[in-house]
Amino acid sequence: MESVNLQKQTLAAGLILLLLALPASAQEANVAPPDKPKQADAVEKKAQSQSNHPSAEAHATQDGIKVHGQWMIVIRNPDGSIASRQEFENSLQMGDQVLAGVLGHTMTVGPWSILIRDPCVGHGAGGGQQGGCHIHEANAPGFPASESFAGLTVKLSGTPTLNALILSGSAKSTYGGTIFRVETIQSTCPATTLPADCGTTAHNFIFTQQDISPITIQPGQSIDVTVQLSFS
Amino acid sequence: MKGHKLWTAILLLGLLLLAQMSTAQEKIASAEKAEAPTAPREAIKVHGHWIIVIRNPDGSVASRREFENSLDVTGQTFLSWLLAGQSGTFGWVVQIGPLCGKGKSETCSLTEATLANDPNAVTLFKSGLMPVLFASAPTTGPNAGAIVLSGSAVAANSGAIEKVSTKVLVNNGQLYGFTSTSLSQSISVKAGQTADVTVAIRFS
Repeated sequence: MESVNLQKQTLAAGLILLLLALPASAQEANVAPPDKPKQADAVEKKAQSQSNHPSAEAHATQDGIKVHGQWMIVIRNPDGSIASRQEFENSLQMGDQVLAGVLGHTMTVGPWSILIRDPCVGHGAGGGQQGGCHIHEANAPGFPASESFAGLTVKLSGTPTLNALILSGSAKSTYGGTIFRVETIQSTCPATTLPADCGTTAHNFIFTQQDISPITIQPGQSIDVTVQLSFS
Repeated sequence: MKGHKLWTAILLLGLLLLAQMSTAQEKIASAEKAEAPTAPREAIKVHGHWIIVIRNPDGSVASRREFENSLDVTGQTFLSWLLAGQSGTFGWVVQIGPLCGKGKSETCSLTEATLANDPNAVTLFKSGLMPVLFASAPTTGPNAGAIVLSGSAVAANSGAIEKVSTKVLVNNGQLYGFTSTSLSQSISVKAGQTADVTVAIRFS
């Protein structure tokens, strides 16, 4: 009799454990695992990886050709330590007009810049209001209501062919704030202007843009930005 | 007594499993929050759309074909190079064929007028060179925001269009393949027929 009871209890225990385990498995099946933390050079490595598979381009698809814009934002504390890191893709904004204009001989490209909205100091009344961090190449035209940070580098990347554009630069937030949107900006001039002469008088186009979940920036933290633009 | 111990063990195991599920859900929620800015991967696209209309000498349409093409590896390089501000002047080339040339059939290389007497173009395209291509970037109409290449070539020889491509010839003599595709079904063309070609390369 005790043996029968023990068997019933064992069976009941097994059923309960099975019922408890099932929802956990279902949860795992429905939610994709989060991305593992990326290395600092992940952006560049992706560009290299894409260029190592040229055979993919041999086949046309209904979707046609793709342009990729991948961002990495690293927030650093004043002592240089990393406070947070974000990676995401962006969307083409007015970049189609720039690409069509340059390829159609109506525009010349000028300097690039990156706009981080809005943890920096704007140029509004009193100069102390929140504004964008405008990280730009040396001779780029200014951007309204933003704080200027020179030193944006633009370089070609990719192996074996240089088929990606890497924009990288840094800004520092004096008073802290929140990042809620990021933009790449390409300035252009009429086609009669040589790229080398297309500088401060150029017209700004928001090339790509992305609204992001707010990132809180503390006073004195720096914002390191890397954007990879590539085509496939 | 044994039953009591067993039920206690079952209860403890159940609580342990519930705790694990709760922790896992918190981890997932935390990860989703951190990754929330992530837009759909590969969200931005560029479309290359071709229309080739074959016309008889009297202007009537013999055949019409529409298809998409894909960006070449060298097209990726050219775009990056162009946006980095390292461009010189360049001219567009659309190649179809081989239907052109005298004697031996050559690929028809439709080029912009600026390449008509370009030494590099003359050397590269030989008797297939046809400076009849127009490049435009319309700001209104159905092709607003696209780069549109269009031109017409009269076939000197009968043949079939099996592969098409767009290319850019830079003033340093470098020829970059931009887009290309091989047709699943070739387009037959007779000598004297005209191929009207339009390529709209769109970014979205």
